[in-house]
Amino acid sequence: MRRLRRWLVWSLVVLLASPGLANGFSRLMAGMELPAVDGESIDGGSVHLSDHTGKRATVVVFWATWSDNSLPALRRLAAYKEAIASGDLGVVSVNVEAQAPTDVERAKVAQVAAAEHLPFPVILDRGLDRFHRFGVVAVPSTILLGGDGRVAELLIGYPLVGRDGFFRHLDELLGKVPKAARPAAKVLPKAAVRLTHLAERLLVRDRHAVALEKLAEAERIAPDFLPAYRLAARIHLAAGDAKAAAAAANRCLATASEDAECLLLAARAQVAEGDGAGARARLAGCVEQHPDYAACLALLGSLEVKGGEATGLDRLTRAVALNPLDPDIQELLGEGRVAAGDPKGGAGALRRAVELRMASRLGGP
Amino acid sequence: MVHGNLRFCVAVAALLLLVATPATARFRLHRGDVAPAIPVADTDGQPVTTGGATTSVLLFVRGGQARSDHLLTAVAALKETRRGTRTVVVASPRGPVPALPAELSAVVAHDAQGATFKAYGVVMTPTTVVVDGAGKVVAVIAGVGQDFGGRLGAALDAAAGRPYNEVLLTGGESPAAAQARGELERARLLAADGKSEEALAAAKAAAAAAPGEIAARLLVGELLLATGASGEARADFEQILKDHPRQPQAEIGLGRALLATGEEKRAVELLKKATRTNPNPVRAHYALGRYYEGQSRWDEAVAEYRAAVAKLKEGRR
Repeated sequence: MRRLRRWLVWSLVVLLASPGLANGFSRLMAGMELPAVDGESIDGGSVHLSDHTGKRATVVVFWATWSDNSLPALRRLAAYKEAIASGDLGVVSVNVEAQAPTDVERAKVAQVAAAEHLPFPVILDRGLDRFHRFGVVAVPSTILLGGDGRVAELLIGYPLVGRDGFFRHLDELLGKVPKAARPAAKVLPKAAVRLTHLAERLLVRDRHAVALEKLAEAERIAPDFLPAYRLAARIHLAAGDAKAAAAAANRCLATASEDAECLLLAARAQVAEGDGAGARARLAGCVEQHPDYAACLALLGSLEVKGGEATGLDRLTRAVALNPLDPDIQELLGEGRVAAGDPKGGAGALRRAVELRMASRLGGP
Repeated sequence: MVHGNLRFCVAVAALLLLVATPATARFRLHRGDVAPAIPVADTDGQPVTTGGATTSVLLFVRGGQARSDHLLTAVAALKETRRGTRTVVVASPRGPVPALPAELSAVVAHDAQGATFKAYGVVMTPTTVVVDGAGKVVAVIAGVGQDFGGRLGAALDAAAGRPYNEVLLTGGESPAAAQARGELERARLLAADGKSEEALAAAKAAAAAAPGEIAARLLVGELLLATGASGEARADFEQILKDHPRQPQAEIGLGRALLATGEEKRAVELLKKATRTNPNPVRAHYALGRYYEGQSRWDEAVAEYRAAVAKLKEGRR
């Protein structure tokens, strides 16, 4: 019980203090091997990602029927898959309809899959285990794996700017077009990944100082390994050390200046240090580069609402539409609505934030 | 509907986390269950099997972990106890294959993908699972405590059909408590899986098997509430409070049941009291928030939800 409480305190502090860990592909980056994606398919069979890898490219797409952009993304992917020899491209889709989908919701997902003749399996992510494990930031979100099984690209949402580039990258992997000059994803030392996972486990045991040491070690081994910087920044933010959080986030940005989550964490550190204007500028940059990154949208919207700007609520509403399963975003929307003089709407969003936080504890890591 | 039966999850979630779970209850397998197949080959590439008229002692260990080494040494020393049985060492994916003590002769399998750990629901190392010759689980022994030798001996006696010490075999649990624990675990899994009616039946069976087991009674109340049987839930929580007048979770449960049955004044009093006195008042705040929302008292609802979020962020329930 004591261990459970400790786990709850630290994991909740770290998880909930930042939308990042729960919602930002925070454990993934280009060059990493993807953990197993297995599960029960919507038609009752079992799906293993390993059955779909080992090809020239593999795509894993997270989607839901309530997401406006999911259907266009699925249709394009389905059409693409149909036109490719089956031995070249593997596709697995993960439906993130709800924490505990009802029979009606399950039927709806099956209906969409059948109506769209999806030529790839649909895993029903009951308990949103994979959604949280991979830190899906917006729905849909897509992972592209190369022939070596490593992450080649992550597409957050289905943004107008970005999706064509994603399919272009897919074309390249399949040899349909010449390879563009893009920096090759580095093969990340497994030791850095292991140390970061160890740090996560140490957090569970309330040993955050040791966790930070392990992350520093991971940084030394692999200075390009972003998840280590991200986790360190989140730990510092949760502990109220904005300066150290800013330092970790800035080290991350020095490695990958456009990384959405590192931009978010740097902005959060700025907010914590009282630099609201700086945070807003950074978040505006994040939103421009990653229009579907819900966490940046939500924080920017929240700051705008506090500044009395009408655009704030629109951003918050859009962030929730992109990721209604994120309690932090729901909370920001609730507070934004209250601040904008809509306590009824605020109560609704805050209620949802409470429900999501409580329900997400069912599975646990 | 984005959240589906989220409310049901919410209804069960806090309780699932609230109730202390005995170490062995965390395992998926219980006595009498059919042991899953072992999906990995041994280090010689041969398939690993259980059953086949021979009792198997499965040692789930992690290479490099002192406690696992301690278990291997302890099992090696129990050579006579293990006579005529098959010993299988299943090495965790989190570590290398451990070196075995010279006296321990065993089949070794490196569970590199964690498939065997998953199939057996093993969540900690070391863990010992005894499977009888018919392929059924006889005992799951977590860790390597002082009574390990006795427990393993009792399990092997039971597996061989010899007289055995029930108390040792079950780790000191009475058969009724063991049955209640099994049913309670099943109820939790069913509830987490959204199967509320089956979960309720299992929780009731657990409560019937061990009436003193408050966790089972609380779960029955929660599931009654979640399935809309508010009147029954109210009676259940009232009975718990008669037996345990200050049981904090039952107070919140009763408050919620009273709200559902229309006794709002008493319900609000109880729930407000819980928000002041219960260290884990999230459910009370949430119930009050919903009540105020129903009354169009938005500011009060907002205040309750904010308080719930704040408590959740503190790690409270």
